[in-house]
Amino acid sequence: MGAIESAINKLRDLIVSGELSPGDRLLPEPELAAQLGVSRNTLREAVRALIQAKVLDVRRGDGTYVTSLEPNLLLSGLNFVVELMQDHTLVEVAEVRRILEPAATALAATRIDDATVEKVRKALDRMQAATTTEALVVEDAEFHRLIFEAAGNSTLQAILSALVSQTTKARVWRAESRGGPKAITLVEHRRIVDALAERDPVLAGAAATVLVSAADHWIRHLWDETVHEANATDSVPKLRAPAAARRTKGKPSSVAAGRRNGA
Amino acid sequence: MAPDLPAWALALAEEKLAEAVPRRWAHAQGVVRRAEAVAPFLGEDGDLLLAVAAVHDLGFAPDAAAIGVGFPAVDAARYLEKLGAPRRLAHLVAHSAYSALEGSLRGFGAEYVDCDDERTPLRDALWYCCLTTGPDGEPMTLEERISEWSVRYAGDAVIARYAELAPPELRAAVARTEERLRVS
Repeated sequence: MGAIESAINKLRDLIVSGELSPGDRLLPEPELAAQLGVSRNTLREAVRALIQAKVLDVRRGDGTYVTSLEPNLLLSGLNFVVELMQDHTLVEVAEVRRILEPAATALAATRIDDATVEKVRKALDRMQAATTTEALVVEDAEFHRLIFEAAGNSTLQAILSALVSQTTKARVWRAESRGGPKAITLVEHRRIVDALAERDPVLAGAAATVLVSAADHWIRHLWDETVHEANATDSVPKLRAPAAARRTKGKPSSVAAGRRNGA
Repeated sequence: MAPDLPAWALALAEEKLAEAVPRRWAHAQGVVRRAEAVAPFLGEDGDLLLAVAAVHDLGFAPDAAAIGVGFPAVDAARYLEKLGAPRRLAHLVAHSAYSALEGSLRGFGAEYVDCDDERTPLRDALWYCCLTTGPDGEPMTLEERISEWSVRYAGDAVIARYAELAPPELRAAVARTEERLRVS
């Protein structure tokens, strides 16, 4: 383990053990370096890394403090990471979203208050009225943000927010505007609001399931296309034929006429 | 798309449904007859429509149910993937006629995590074919279908909920398909 990594772990241990709490100020650099048994340069690098990770925060002229350590803050880097992911890992991101979003929406239905239901409804109205893709993406993000927040679990909220990052959403909508009508997606957004208003977690979760199963389709499709292009010679699926079927009366004409027995 | 996919799917449906659940087989054949009329409007996706039409109720086959989770649309998709069918076909089956809504109301939402609703003209056409064919394979309007559910599934609270919530989206898919059939 490098000296900096070791210093980072020592600082982390101070927080985990409770010697340092959220909002506490670190000892001045010389004293802390001596306490941890590391050089001042090493400590400075370790502190810099933890500032990047939102564990520490420098207040100019005042010293270095432990942040609030709230999930929103600590997980904010996830957003950055998700945006860096390549297409094949986006399939995984989409699956995680499909696992979490229905659960979060169902949870929101049990915890949301009337004022937030109204805010969600207004976000949907603005989505409906949006005339540009950008406006649609902004309002859609707000719609989901409000629901994630209403689920009342800041860790879940932070993870989901990262998964449904602006970048990803923009690409979803762009793909949808090529292929599918936006009206379909809005129908399910509407159903989610209604379920939230009725405090119906089963319906809220079901509506979210239906919504995300469509919203993410393009990601997998994009990935499939890439794979298929790479394996163009393998594009005819190998099918395991069922045992020879018995012929019956009234069968559809395609087999009766032998029209499609290409194989 | 493999040229023999519709024939393979139809033979599979016949083998798995005809004796075990004859009414589902009659329905499947009716849906395929519908699909034959619609397929020419779908270009390259026409063959896939014929194939999905044949196997969309495969989850009611004992062989598929035996390895399934207990929700026919998902069981059919899993079974088809196991047999080597294209993933797109399996996903269309899982999502046929808004099954994801019924499935998640029944607690099978998690089964849809790796299953896409592609929301294309092909998807709409599949819904159209299923929803305008009666349980015995006879042509039927969507509205007749909706009222038929309440009789056939009387006492099933989830179907009642589905029948209350699904129609706007079902009607939209049917209307979009009819529009495409007109303008093509």
